[in-house]
Amino acid sequence: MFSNSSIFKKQVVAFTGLLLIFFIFTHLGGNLFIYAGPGVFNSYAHKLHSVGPLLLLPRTLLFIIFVIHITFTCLVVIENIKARGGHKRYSMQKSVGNRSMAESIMPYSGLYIFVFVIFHIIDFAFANQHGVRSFLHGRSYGLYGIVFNSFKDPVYDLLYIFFICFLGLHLCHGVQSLVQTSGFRPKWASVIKMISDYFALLMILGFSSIPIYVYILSRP
Amino acid sequence: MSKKINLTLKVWRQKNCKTPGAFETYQAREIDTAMSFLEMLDFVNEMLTHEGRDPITFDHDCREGICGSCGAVVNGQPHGPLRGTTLCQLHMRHFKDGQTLVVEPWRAKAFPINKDLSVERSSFDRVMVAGGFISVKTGQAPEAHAIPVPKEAADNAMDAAQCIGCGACVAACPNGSAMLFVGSKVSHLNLLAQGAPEKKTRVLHMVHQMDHEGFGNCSNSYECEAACPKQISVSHIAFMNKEYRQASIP
Repeated sequence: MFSNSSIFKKQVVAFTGLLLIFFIFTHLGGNLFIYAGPGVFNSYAHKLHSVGPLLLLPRTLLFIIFVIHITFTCLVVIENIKARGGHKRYSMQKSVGNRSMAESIMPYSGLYIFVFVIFHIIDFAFANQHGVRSFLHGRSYGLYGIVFNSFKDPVYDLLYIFFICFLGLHLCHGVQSLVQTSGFRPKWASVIKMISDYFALLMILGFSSIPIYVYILSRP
Repeated sequence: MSKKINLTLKVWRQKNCKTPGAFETYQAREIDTAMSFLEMLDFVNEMLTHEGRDPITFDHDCREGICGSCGAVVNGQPHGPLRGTTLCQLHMRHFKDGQTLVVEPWRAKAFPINKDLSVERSSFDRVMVAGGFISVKTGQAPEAHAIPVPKEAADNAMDAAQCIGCGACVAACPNGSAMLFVGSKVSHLNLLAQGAPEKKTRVLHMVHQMDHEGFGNCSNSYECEAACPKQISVSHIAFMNKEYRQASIP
């Protein structure tokens, strides 16, 4: 009864979502080392990789959390489509007033994030850190060089910022949702919504600042 | 002062849940703005009957906004455009002369259409049978002050108890979820001392039945709260989520 229930599935999505939020937060913290220059950024990346097999454990855990989050979301979405009673439900569909754009596009923003994360992992995490992409002015700059060369391209930057905006929209509904779904709705629920919105905005500004910074820096 | 208005009605007509339905257009002329929406439908039905046509079937009972029988989606909004009001208490003065009204039944897998605007809501009854009650010994009524109830709990339970089970929450929810209905029933009983002994089994059984009936999952869009004629807060859904989490952990 428990494992199949709608609330259990939603609470799993909420809990894994919370863990992913922690990851996003620490990931941004790591990314911001880029402002300290190639030395600091590369030494951070090097330290992270130097733990060797120990890194495999958090990576595997993260992968499992990600898979659980997506699987349970898919189950919930499929049930929701069935429960609606028809594809075109009402001939005249009007929001009664509470539905946000972020909520209505949650499955789509999630799908876009999923596709981009796969691309992002292949592009940065599995990239040859001393390959051609790491070279700047004839010298290898490791991961810093790869990031720099990628973000020099304005099309790449736009795609990345577009992805970050989707991530922000996903977070803006996700953070407040996980509070509600976990069963906490204090009297100051509007504050939770505000925290959720500002957190999403902070993530958008934080992540987007890097491609903008690199692009400006790369201009002659 | 009431006045007369003319309306164009596009009403969903469907013989039963097995046959496909379609919209039919009617001209509702000389509608008194003092009429309620259901009285307007009565008026149109009289016209249809005189013309030898099948009148529009719709659910209704008390017509005082307290029984939860009536309900239809008017211009895309459950119970029409006025907040905190059932369809029977929505009066025609809220519409403009010459306006077109699209009238559809609640649509959800768990609410099959009986006929036209009337939907089968016995799924709600089965959810109530699963746990929406308290077990008490029969006999004389107990002393009202024998069990002290904190003021805040009494207020919240009273707010939740306002749910009339009309189904507007399901109709408004983009996922056809009944969590506002079930949440308010769980809150109503679990918050009070009288409902406490069965609070764990109540929430588990009611949620299980809700899922079994084919209602969707809440995605926190809160359309239900906005559509609810009794303006029941989504905080009752959060309360149900908490009760469910606590009841699930042995």
